[in-house]
Amino acid sequence: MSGIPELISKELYRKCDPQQLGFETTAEIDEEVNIVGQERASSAINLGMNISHPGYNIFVLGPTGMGKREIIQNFFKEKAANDTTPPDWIYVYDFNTPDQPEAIELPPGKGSGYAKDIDGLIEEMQTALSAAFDSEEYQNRRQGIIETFKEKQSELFKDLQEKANQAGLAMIKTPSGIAFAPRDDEGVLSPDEVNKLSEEERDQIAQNIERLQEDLQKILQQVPVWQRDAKQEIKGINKEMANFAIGGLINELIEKYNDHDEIVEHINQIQDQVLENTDEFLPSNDQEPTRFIEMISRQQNGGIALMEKFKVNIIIDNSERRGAPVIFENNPTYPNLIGRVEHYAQMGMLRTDYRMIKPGAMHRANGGYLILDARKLLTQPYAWEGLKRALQSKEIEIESIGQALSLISTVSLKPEPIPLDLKIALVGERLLYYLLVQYDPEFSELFKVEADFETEIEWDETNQELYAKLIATVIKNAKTKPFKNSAVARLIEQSARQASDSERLNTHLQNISDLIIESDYWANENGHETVDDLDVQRAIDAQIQRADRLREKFQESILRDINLISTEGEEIGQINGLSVYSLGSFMFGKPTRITAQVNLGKGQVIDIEREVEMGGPIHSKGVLILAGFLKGRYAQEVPLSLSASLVFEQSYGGVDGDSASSTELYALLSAIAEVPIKQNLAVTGSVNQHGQIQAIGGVNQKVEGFYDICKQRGLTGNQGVLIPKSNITHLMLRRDVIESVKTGKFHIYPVDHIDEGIEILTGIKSGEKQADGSYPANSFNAIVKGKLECLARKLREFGKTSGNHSE
Amino acid sequence: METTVNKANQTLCVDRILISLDSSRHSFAALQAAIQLADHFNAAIHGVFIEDITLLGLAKMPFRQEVGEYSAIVRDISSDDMSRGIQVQSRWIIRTFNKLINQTDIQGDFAVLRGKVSEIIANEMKNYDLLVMGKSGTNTMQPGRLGSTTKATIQEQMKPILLVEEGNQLGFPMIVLFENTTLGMISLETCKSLIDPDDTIIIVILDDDPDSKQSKKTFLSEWASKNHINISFQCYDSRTLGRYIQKIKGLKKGLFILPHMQNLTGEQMENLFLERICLPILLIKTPPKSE
Repeated sequence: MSGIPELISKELYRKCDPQQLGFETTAEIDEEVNIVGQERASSAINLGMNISHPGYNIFVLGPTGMGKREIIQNFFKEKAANDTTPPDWIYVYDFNTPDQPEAIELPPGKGSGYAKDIDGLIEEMQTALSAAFDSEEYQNRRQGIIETFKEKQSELFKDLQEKANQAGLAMIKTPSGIAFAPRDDEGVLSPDEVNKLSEEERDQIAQNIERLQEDLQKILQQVPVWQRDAKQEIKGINKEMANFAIGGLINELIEKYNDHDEIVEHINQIQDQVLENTDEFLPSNDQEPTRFIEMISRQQNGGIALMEKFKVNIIIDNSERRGAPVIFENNPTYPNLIGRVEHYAQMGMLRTDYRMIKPGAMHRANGGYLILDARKLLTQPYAWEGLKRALQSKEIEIESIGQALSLISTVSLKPEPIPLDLKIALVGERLLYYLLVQYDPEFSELFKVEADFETEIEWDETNQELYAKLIATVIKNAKTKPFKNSAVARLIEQSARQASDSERLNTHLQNISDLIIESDYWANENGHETVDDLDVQRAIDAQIQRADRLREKFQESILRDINLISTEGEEIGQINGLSVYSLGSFMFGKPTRITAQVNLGKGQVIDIEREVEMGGPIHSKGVLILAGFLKGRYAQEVPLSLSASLVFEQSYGGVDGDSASSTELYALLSAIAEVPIKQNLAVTGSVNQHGQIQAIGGVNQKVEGFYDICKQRGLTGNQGVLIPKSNITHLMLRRDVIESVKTGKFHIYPVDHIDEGIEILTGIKSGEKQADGSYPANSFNAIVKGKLECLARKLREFGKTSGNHSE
Repeated sequence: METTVNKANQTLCVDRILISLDSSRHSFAALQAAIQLADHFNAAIHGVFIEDITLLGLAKMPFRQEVGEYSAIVRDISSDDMSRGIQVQSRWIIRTFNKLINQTDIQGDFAVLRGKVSEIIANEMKNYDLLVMGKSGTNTMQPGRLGSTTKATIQEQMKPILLVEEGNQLGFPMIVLFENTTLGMISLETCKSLIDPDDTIIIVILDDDPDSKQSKKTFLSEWASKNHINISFQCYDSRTLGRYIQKIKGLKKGLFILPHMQNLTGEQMENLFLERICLPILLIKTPPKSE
């Protein structure tokens, strides 16, 4: 189509010159680059990281797959390396409030040291106490007290026994007490013998028994008192022996931890407990429990053995750490964040103690940095609430969800809260950030820093070099073969294609990373030592092939004339529009026939898609703009007296967007003017009320969509696409399209105004408006204006006629 | 069946053990010791619980009252209560006996008998080699370490008796009181048969005459050397015996083998050991009859 400005092949694609990259293969690049063109996000992260005031936590926002987490993690790691190593935290049994374990802070490394010291103390105490209580000295002193008690008791019973003997009575032990019975030299009298005694003798015996029973009662009442005294005395010896046995060990430990008051208090508590409970260390004569109930009873009384209660539960051990921790919690459930108290099953019951307290991510990150995935955090029940509560109260309080919500009232542990001092980074999509800002009033208070990641960066020389290094870093991390400069250049070009902009590069690292891995695979398949541009191209083609089943089906449908698309000839009120389908990360274009019908009416343009509720609001807006354009240009002097209908033919799904509004206008103008439109062309672009063509999205896919159909049918040399001029910078077309343009078999026309487009589509000059408001004769606009005036006249005449009739 | 003697070395051969049980803790300790011995001698154990007819008769007397052992309350006794109380005790004892026996490979059986305790034991012992019993019964208020039934049994029974006290158990040290008599030698040989080759027998020599003491030591040293046994001596006289008893009375693990002493002084000393020391005591009263 000579004379009409069209794009040349150079304008359709921006090539990256491999020689400009400054290396032969990526193996030559040592410098690691993890972030490119994210100055805004970087300065936000730096600000959030370095302000220690509460609430300066960071929300890192941007689309998924950009490597946001790695980037923030690298920022944190760099800072954390120079931060102070946070303290250790331990939980110990609190003997005053057993259900509230005590949290103790210790300098880094001291927690595990103290735990070892306590284990050693327990072992040594057991040996020392065992030796002390096994010693001859102790045994003799203890036995002495018992013997004294027994002797005292024996004396009384001996007296009683003598009294009984004198009264001719025997003292007999029954299963539940002591009884007296008459006896003679042969032994206790039988009931028959007793019955043979005279009444007086029996009365005498009864009196004697009564007297002895009174004496026995007095003795029995005295025995418990002596028993208690003996026990107290033994307890005193026990304490004395135990104190002697463990005193040295305890003092040694107190000396070592003299600077830590809470530790000294804990050690003193241990000493007190040993001295108060010396019975636990005596050689046990306990028999094995024979019944279930006995066993339960013992366990309930004993709980955890005394020595076990002295042990230390290390919640945070920073002995191996240099600097502050950087923790990423991949599964941010409520207990994984806040910590939990675990249970173990015993005899069908769930039991717990302070040693079952387990730390959460907030404990591990305390004094450092915690990174969480916002979406995962928000989808875990109560995790977000728990995190906020901890940040607001500045302490980590371990309680189960049930406890936190007061759903359960069973007795459980309530560990002492640990002070919280950490920086949190939530990583998530923009939508989540804005939803949180909008709907959670506490969010803005707690996450004051937003680090917004750019999805595209400018493709200039500096960024190109950095981007190449970024690619080299990804290659190194992925441990693939080195890439040739031509392969890197191809990756950069593909990045621009993904950004749909020849002046921008995509920062979506996941896509690049996938492509690198797949290119490496194809290099292996092809037996290449280094990955070259053909391997990259193969990977791109394979990605498209895997995803384009639906595109093939659509094309097949067009080529079999099931979906009607003309690529030659001319038609009035019919035009090839272009639409884009997006399936995940895969986009493709498809031509769609748009038709217009015009008849006498009152200036309405009917959008059939909207009438059947298949058109979205933006599409409807675009159609209404057409009416505005018609009225503004052609109906200044006469009313717009037409009724027009527009439709996307054979569209069975929804239509939205205004990228076809210029196409619809061409179809409408063609219908009004009754001038045919060339079917070998397809059109995309939105239009405003002044007829200016505006940029649209997916221009590459749209051009390729029409090109593919034309190619399948055979390129005629006059086929092509009209695109908005402002979309030229977005062109990163496929090589085969570029080749066809180069050889003149396909054309791409940049259009700035509707008048330019109509000339290309109809071959008729559009005609500029003259001073008197008219258009040059035979120009397209003159034809349209004439047709509209004709319609206005007809309508007026029709109005009169119908008015007369009605009279 | 008669108790047999190993003619070569005059030691006890125990094939069948009788254990008299009541519901006291002493009985439980005695049962554990009996099992240990049965295991050593590869002997069978026969347990008995004797329903004391004196107790059953008490409930039929006009003055059928008892004073609660802990509550000190005087209350009437009925035949039903007494029978039920005895049955509860017997059931508990049978269960405990079976449980402990079943944990071993030892052959054991149990019987509940009724009568006078000392008479029943005397009658039953005709068929057994060794009697094991607690040093006292359930009466915690009685004066002295030995219960009345135990005393009566020691008095009447001529076969070896092992007496065990609550909380004590068989083991080491093994102490033998040496008497230059047949019973003394049997005690020594029995101790030898109970220890491992590397262990040491503690031999207590009680003699006021230094020459006699030395001569006993010489004899025992030769005996030990001949039998490759480690021994150590504890020599005392009647004046210092109390000190020795004081020294060992706190021991709760071990075995004291005591040959019966027939003269008056000897009997007094025997009673002293029986009453004062806690250790399990194996009392050997007569030489076992030859097969």
